[in-house]
Amino acid sequence: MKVIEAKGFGIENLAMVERPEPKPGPREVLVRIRACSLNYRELLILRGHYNPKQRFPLVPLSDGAGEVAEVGDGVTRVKRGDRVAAIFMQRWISGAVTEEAARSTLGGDIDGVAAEYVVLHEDGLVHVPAHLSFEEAATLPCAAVTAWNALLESGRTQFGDTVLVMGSGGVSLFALQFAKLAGARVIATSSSDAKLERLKQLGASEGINYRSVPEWGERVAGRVDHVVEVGGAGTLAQSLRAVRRGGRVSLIGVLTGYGETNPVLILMKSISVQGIYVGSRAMFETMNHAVAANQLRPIVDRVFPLEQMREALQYMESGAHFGKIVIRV
Amino acid sequence: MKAIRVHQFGGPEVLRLEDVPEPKAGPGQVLVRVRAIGVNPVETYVRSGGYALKPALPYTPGTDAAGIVEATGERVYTHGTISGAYAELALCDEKQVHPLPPQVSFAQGSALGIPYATAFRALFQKARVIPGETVLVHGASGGVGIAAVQLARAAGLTVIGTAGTELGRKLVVEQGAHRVLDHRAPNYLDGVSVDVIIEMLANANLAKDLTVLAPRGRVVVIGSRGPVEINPRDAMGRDAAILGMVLFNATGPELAEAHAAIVAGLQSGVVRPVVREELPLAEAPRAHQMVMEPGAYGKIVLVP
Repeated sequence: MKVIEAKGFGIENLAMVERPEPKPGPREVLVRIRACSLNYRELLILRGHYNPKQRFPLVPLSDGAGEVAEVGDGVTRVKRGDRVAAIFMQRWISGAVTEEAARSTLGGDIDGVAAEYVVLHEDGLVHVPAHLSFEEAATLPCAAVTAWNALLESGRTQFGDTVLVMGSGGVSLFALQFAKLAGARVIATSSSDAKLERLKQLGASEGINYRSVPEWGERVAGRVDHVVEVGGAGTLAQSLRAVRRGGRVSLIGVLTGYGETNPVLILMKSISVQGIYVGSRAMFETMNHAVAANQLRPIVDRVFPLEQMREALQYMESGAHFGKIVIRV
Repeated sequence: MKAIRVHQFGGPEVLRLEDVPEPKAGPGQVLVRVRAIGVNPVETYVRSGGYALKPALPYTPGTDAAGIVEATGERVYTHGTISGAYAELALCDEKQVHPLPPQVSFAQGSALGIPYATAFRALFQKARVIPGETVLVHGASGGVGIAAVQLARAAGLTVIGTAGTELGRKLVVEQGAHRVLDHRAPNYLDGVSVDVIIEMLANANLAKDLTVLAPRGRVVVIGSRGPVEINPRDAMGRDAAILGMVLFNATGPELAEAHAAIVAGLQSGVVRPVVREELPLAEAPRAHQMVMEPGAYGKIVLVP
C-alpha cells in the first residue's frame, strides 16, 4: 500500500513509499482511508515548531475518513463497510482533556492517516454523517471539532450572540457555519475583499478588511460576545479590544506567530480567554449529529491526489485557499 | 386617556374601559403612545385573583405594548410597564422598552414581550439547547409556541410542534417546524424521542413527556393548570430534568439578554410574530375569553 512518510523536518523530506498492509489486532480496526485533509498544524510539525524532538519517520496528517475494511477480535463499535473518521487525539473519549489524551495525537505523537490503510483502536473512530462525501468528512476531525468545542462546548454560543471569525481557513469557516447554525450573528475579517464577499455569502453579516482597517478591534469594540482567535500574538490585541466586557476569546491558532501580549484588558474587561486544542470523541459525535440534522456541508477548497502532498502543503502555506484542502487517497 | 381598569378580581367582565389621568414620565422613564397591546393568558389568571401575583386594586392589566415614545417618536415594544399596557399611554422604565424595526408592525411588536422572552428563556437559559438536538413544542400554534418554533429552528434544532386543529398545524409548519402532531389524537407521541420539551400544559402532559425524553433530556414547564402524577423513575433512568420557570423570576441581566436576542431576531427576520386578530381596547373581555380557548392560532391583540 501507498504511505506518505516524513523522514525529517521540512516539506522536502516527505516521500511516498510502499509498505505492507497492516493487520488489525484485538479491538483494532483496519480503515481504508479515502480522503485526508490538511491543517496548518502539518506545517508547524514539519518545521519543528510543534515538537523539536519529533521522531521520524512519521506518517503525517491527523484528518482522515474512509471505510472499515476489516475488524479485529472483540470490536463492537464499528463493522466492515462503515463510513468512519479518525479522532484527532486517539485517547480523548469524553470529559476534560488528560495528559494521556494530549499525547495521542495522530500525525504527531503517533503515526497519522496519510496512507491507503491505517490500523486504529476502535475507540478512536466515529461514524461520519451519511450526507457527506469522504472528501467532506475528512475535513471534520481537527478543524470542525475545534470550532465546535470553542463555540458550543467550552463556550455556549446561543441565539442572538455575535461571533467574530478571522479569515477563511478551515476552523474559521466551520466557526462561521456553526455560529450561524446556533442562530448567532457573525463578523468576519480577511485581507481580501473578494474573500469577504464569499464570507458574506456564507452568512457573515459584516466583513472587515484588516489590511485597510488594522484597528478593526476598535471598529467592533464591545459588540462581540466571542472571538475565535486563530492569529495568535499578531491579532490577540485586536481581539481583546473587539470582545465585549465579560466576553470570551477562544485561542485556537497561532498563524501570525508567537510574541508578547498585554494582558491588562483581559482582567479589566473580565474576558475569558480559553485555549482550545481540538476536542473529544464525544464532542465530535455531538457535532456530527448537528451537522447531519442540519445537512451542513463543509467548504472544500481544492482536492489533491496523494502523490501531490508537497504541492498541497505549499498551497496551504500560500494562504490562497478558502476552506479545507483535501487529499484524495 | 382611556384605559382598562380592574376594580375587583373576577371574570372577563371586570375589565372596564374608563377615563383615567395621563401618566407623566419621570427620570429614567418613558411614556409610550400605545398602538397595540398583546393579550397573554397570564393576564386572565391575574384578573381572576387566583394567581400568586395579586396587584393592588384597582389596576390596569398588561405588560406587552408596542407604540411610539412620546418624547422622541421612536418605535418601540415593551416587556413591562409601570402603569399597565391596556391603555392609550403606558409609562415604562427605560429598561422595559426596546427598538421595533420599521418592517415589524405594532401588532407584531405587542406579541414579543411575554411570548418570545418566555420561549427564549425556556430554550436557552433553562434547557440550554445546542444545535442538532430535537425539541418538542406543545401547543405550538399559540403565542409562546410560535415563538419557540421560530427560535428553535433558527438555533439549529430539529423541531416537532403540536396543535389541536388543522389550521393550527398548518401554521406550525409555516413557522419552520420539521414535523407537526395532533395532540388531540390518541397516542400521538408514540415513537417520538426528543431531547427537550417545551411544556405549556404540564398537568395533562408531564407524565407522558418523561417517557419520550432521550437520555439527558429536559422538560421545561412553562404552564400548568393543575396537579399531575408522574413516575419519577421515568426521569431517573434517563438522567432527565424537569425545569420549572416563570418569566417573572428572570433577573434583569437575563431579561436584557433575552430582549437583545429578540431585537437581533427582528432585524434578521427570524422573529416574525403571527397576529390572529386585532380587537378594539373596549373588547378586552372578549379578548380574555379568546386567549383561553383551545385551538390557538397566533396572537390576540387589542388596539386602543
